[in-house]
Amino acid sequence: MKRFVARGDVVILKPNIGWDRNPQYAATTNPEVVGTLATLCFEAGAKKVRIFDNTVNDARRCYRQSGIADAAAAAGAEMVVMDGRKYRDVRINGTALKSWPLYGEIFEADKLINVPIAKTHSLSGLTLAMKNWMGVMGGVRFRVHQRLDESLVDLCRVIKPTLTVLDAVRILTANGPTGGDLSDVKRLDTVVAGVDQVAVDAFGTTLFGMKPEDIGHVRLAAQAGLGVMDLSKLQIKRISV
Amino acid sequence: MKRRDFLKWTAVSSAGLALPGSLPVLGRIAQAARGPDLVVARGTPTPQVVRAALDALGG
Repeated sequence: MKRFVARGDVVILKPNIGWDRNPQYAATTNPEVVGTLATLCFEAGAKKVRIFDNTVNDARRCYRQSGIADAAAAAGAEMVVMDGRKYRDVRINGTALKSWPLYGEIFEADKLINVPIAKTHSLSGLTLAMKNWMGVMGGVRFRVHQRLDESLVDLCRVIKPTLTVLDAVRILTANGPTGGDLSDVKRLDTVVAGVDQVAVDAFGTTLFGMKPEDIGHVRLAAQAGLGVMDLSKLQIKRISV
Repeated sequence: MKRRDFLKWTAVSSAGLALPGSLPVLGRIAQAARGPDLVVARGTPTPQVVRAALDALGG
């Protein structure tokens, strides 16, 4: 982690904690992935690690039920219930979004680490790293569903994480993003880590038997030059533990 | 390094760089130095998998 986090850094971890579900349902990021990342940040010298998501269900319930509150406490990280006053209008000048209120802390922190879970999504096909940034949007964010792919690409024009760690310990293969049926969950015991969030998402599609170009926002992000979708152009290291 | 050795080393290096396919090789060397683009780590327990992934990414 010392490549990414320096002594004294304030680090934001942004998992997907949108739903009031326990980890077995693969609707929220695995708490052990989040907790271990927090521990690694502190080992690298981080001063603070703050964890939050703009949840769909009640934040405190989501934080507790997901197991992430306990994992954060065990690692010494802070779970933050997002404060409505801390959103600020960010000029995006994108295809679909010209500006949007985004959570200020992600721009003020020294380091930003995206920690999404891999799951299906009824509108975007899959929700991986890029889609996880909807959890830092304020305003009437569900309005972006009308031009979802373009909006997600626009978010990635201004949100540049230090690192992305995709949780595929369990993936939700159908009925996402909420899930609720354990028969839709597949255990892969996998994590995918990289700096290029488009590349992480491109690989993430393969976990579902898909190709990167099958997901609109991945294709558009690559076309916009925000990252690499062509897996043959990436050096991918596979390891077994 | 003596002047004669330096000139010999420069000549050999230049010839090597001029060979077709040498730039991709240099690119691969540079890539290896900064680590892979992606790490895909699989196994259990999960905390160990996360640590291994970050280590492999050069962290």
